[in-house]
Amino acid sequence: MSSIGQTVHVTLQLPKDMYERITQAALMEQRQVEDLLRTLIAEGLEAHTTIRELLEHVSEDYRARLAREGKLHQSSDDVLQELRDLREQIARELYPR
Amino acid sequence: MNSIRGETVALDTNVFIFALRKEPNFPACETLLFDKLNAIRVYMPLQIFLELQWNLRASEMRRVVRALTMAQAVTWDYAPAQIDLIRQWERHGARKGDAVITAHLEVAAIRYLVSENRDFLKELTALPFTVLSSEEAVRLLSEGGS
Repeated sequence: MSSIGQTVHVTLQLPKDMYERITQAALMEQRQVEDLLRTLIAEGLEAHTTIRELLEHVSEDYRARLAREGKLHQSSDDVLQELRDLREQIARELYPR
Repeated sequence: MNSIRGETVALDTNVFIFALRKEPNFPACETLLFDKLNAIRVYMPLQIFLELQWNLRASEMRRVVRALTMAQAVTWDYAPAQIDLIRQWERHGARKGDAVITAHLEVAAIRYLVSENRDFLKELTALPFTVLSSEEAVRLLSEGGS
């Protein structure tokens, strides 16, 4: 039976300074500490993965986020237009006349 | 056209975004980024880095940066583009953002930009680099060996 999608509860002890760094990072990224911990553990595991494996995980997270934001099924033309607009916006901010 | 294997190429923001979205209209973006990255040398200018940063969460960006470090080589260019070159390319008809990219690549002497943005080709006739679609880039990499 596949274990993909199943979760387990883990209790662990962390040095206080490490925990404080994690809570600070979670605050800055506006995320739950538990959510950030999952990401950090996944990133640690990914240190030994191939480029495809690494990017598949990024893609999975990114697509899930786009789905939550209602943007996953945007047409490619719309995505290109958004990227064009973003390029202009950043260029105007970085290089004002 | 020669293979781009071993060449330093710039990958436009749309290549990263379409690859990560797994956009069905541009499947070669995924192939290029996920499977061919270790065959190319990547040039990452400030403008494209900022665009990626705007689109991706910090944890997503960190992992994309890590993937890029697994390319044959990666050059991070955090220097702003030269204003005089931006103005020059704008005078040639480029929109400001595209003029910035063109100025970055010209100074770094990058010969190839992989992009699904056809504006570069429409706006400018005398680009200092060749614009390839991700499909063309994958084909050129395949011709140079698997």
